Amino acid sequence: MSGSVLFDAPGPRARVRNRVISAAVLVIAVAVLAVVLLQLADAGQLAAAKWKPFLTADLWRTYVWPGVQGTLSAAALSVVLAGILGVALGVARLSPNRWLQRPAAVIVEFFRAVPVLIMMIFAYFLFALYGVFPSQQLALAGVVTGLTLYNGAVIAEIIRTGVRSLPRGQTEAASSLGLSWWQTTRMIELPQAIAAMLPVLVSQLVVVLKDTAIGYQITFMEMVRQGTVIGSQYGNYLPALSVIAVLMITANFALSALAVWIEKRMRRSKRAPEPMDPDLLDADGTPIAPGD
Amino acid sequence: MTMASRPLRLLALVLLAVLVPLGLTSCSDGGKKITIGTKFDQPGLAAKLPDGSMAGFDVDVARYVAEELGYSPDEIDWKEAPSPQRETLIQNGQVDYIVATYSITDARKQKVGFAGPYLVTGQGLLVRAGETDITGPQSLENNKKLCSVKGSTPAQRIKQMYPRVQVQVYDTYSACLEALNNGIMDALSTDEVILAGYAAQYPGKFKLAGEPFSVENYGIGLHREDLELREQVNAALEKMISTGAWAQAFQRNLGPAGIPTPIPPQPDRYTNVAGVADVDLLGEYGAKILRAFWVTIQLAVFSAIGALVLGTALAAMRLSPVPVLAWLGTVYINVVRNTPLTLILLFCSFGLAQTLGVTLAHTDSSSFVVDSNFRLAVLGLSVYTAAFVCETLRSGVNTIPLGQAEAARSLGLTFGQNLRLILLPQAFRAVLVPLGSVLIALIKNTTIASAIGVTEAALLMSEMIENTAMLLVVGSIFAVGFIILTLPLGLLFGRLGTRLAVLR
Repeated sequence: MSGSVLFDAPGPRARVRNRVISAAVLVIAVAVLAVVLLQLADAGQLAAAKWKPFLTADLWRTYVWPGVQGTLSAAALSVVLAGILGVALGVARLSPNRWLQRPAAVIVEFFRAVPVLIMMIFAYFLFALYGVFPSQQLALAGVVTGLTLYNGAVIAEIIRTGVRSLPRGQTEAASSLGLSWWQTTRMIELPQAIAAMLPVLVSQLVVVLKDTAIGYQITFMEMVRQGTVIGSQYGNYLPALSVIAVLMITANFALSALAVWIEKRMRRSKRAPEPMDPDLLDADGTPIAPGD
Repeated sequence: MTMASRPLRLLALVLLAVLVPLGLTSCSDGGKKITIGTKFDQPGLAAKLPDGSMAGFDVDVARYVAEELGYSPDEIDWKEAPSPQRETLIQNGQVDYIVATYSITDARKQKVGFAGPYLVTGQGLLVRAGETDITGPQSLENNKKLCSVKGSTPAQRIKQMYPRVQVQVYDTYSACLEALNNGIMDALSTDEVILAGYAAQYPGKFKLAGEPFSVENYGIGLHREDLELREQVNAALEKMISTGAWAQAFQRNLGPAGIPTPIPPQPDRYTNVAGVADVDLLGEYGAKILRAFWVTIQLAVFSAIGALVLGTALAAMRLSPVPVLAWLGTVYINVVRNTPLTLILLFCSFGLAQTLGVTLAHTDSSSFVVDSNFRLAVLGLSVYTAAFVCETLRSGVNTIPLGQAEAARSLGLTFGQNLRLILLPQAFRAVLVPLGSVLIALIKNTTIASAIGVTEAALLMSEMIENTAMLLVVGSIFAVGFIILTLPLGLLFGRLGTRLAVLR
């Protein structure tokens, strides 16, 4: 919906008023920014010595790169595994078989209710207790398990919403062709639902990437952790965190933009199904479009 | 199938883009290796230098011992061993041994084994160079703020001996050092050799205050039952001391910090006493668990109110006819939604409170540290959650039929009236269920407030795991606690959502 439905096209007086408000807001914003910068300069946070280290290759190679590797590998593994788990749970929850449906519902609700941090710590100690993974990979395994279980549950919900939002005629046509439930799901519903979910799945990647930062509580080496190590080495805590924040925001913003691009492309294409809007995700990543 | 082929190809493309960086990271290495845990952020004792190499007294001791065990320096894998995680790393077999300013205590001997001691030091205080009021731990009771790290003995000792001192805990000493430098903390307490290393790293900024007020024996932590390795390490330490390599290492690493080389200690060959006794978990921690969850609930309630107010304002901005407001709203959403919550909270603590001086509590108050942390956490959580509240509300406005807004306009209502009287009341009712899941996400996100030292559920969970051996029980208690908090809320909002839905 465009804004124009909510208000009339501005007339001469409204245009003047809008300009006045705009100018006032801009002045206030610039003033706040100036005060913040002055305060930062006062505290010596803008001194060249605090920012120069970021121009050396050593800093990036020794501290930032391992963190980027950790964050990316945990996020990539989690997204792939969560996708698989999510499809399985989502399909099970849609199935007409009560023995599949109920346990899947319980699992999904459980993993959405428990904080990721607590699942990570739990998985980490469980793996350690039974020696499931080599010690070097233990922290990564804990992070990936926590993220997989949680995001798998979220993706299951996304799939359920996606399948439910398909036109009824699809399943009816499939039934009239004599396809079984499993055939209908596999050949008719899932392909359309997954395709429609693609933008939402890419947005989910942003959630995963952000959540890897929680992993540093179980000795996992990721970007935020590395940022604090830089801070202690060069005595520039705030600049180091700022640089990490810029890196994180850029990466996540690019992913969000990719999601929007995919969505637009699909909307233009006549063959692709109607995509889900990635903006319609809550803090959980659960779809917030009140579809049904 | 053909219908979906292009999106599926896109999916494959995305998977590829995700898996390629993964392939780059998973290089395998064979050959014999030894994994040693140490600190990465303690200049003089153990620090990771910009060129990637390790340096410090602990590192030199670790290398000497490894050499004696038959591993050359390039066969060593260094693993960071932050204070709260040292026992866990050893018990899980993630490291072969730990040389990381690790004090030998009876409580720790229950969980891990110790070779050594290889260095004797004591707890001291580090203050800003101009500080004259602080002369020892007693003077801290004079409304001074002390910083230390999670899971370390110094913080616990001060709390027991001088209960009126306000103690702030962070994950690392570097965070404390930043807070001390910013003037928000008055002193940093830990072992004197560590403090001396920091004083040497920042000449003229910090100084040691008073005499050490404890005796700390640094040992090499290893698996409790591995008596053979323990004896080998003890022998290596004895050799290091007798050949003079020990004194050289001390001179090289801690000499510049201005502490004279001490007399090297004798390794203490103790025998293991009985293992960990069963702890009465609920008896000892029951009240604490309730208190921690109470903090979690308070965090969630206050942040929810803040997020609702801020989120509604943001939604109004994004929908408003003034382009600058709409643009500011969009920028806010895009920045906040793409930043990890951990970073937002760290910025609240280090940026807002310490650098810009927005502390949100009276600096003179006797509960300054607790209040300030709590309020900063509420602020950070509100700022983060508001972005999601805004987007939820906006999607709710989108569900309202166009005719509603048009009818309102034709009646002559202004944008503000339209929003206040027609759109938002319907939007709120339409998005009750999704707002409920935003609230649930907020409750779970309060766990991350432990990053800035708020004593909520997750912080207590790590403390309990540290102090008891009952990991699975402790984990279950907290998982169940969160399910009790979140599941009924989801059901409640679901029911409210259907009852209050706008009939069309």
